[in-house]
Amino acid sequence: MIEEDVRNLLSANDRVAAANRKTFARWGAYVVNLMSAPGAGKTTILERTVEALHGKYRLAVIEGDVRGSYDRDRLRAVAEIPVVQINTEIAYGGECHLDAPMVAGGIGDVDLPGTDLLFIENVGNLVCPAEFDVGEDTKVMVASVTEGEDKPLKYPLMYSVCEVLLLNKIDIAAAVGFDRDQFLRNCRSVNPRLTIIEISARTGEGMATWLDWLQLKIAA
Amino acid sequence: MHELGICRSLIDVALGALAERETTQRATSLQVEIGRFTAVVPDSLRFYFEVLSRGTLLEGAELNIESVPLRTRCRSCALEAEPELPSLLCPQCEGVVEIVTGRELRLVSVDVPEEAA
Repeated sequence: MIEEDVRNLLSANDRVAAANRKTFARWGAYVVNLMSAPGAGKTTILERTVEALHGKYRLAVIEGDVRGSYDRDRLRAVAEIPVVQINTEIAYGGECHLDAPMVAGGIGDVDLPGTDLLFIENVGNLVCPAEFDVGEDTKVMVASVTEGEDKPLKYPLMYSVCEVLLLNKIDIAAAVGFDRDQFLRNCRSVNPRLTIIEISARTGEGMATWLDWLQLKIAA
Repeated sequence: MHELGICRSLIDVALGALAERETTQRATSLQVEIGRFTAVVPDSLRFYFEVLSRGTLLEGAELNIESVPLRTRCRSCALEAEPELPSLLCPQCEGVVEIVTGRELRLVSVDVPEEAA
């Protein structure tokens, strides 16, 4: 019998996350790990956010996708900012999330001192990304009204680890029969401290509140 | 499917523990704790373990997974409870809780046969 040894299986990830955090701090960046189910609107929200804050702050984005660089191309079309694309299919067996080593590999030799705000757009998935620290300052998730009001109860871990929830596509809430009150109750039951900002990235409704929240964090 | 990455980590940590003990014997079993409030499916972890352990000192070892219950402590009334997921509120006062157990992802021990004297 070998002597007892207690080891955290995420400790390797967490060590790299700590190193990433140091790198980001050296750059001076406030780092947002942005997560959601596929199609909730992460990239559209980023497009509108970059559009609004570009010029005022130095922005950068790390894009995580299983494959393709569609999101990088979309953001590059909005503004000339550094965008790093990580494809989990290529080196990481098609992983369904970003972990700290992938982010470290993605930034590699990229040095972005003076970055004020860095977004890490995670792979669209409400399960796995919740488990991995990548070195961010905060976790923000997007939920869209089309997903239904029961999702906080189905994915309590994701809802519980996030500081902010952007409730997106509120312009079509009535059309899809979204029960807002029930959704807010469900959110509260899994994470009473969650800050919920209701937005429509398409119409721009509520975006000012989100942008204010970000700017307070950058200034802090 | 992130159990693949977690399993790689499990194997690294377990092989590291064996290397530290300078043993060349194959492990017979591993004790692992998985909290109920993690996104890890034990059967999926077992599947990856069987595949990834092949050709290592962990091949054929039994993977014993203990499920650790979700236990919370209320910040308001200090009640310790095992709330029924998905609700994480204090069952007594609906206050905000801290998680005491249930987030574990740990290798507790790696067992090898007794060394011959």
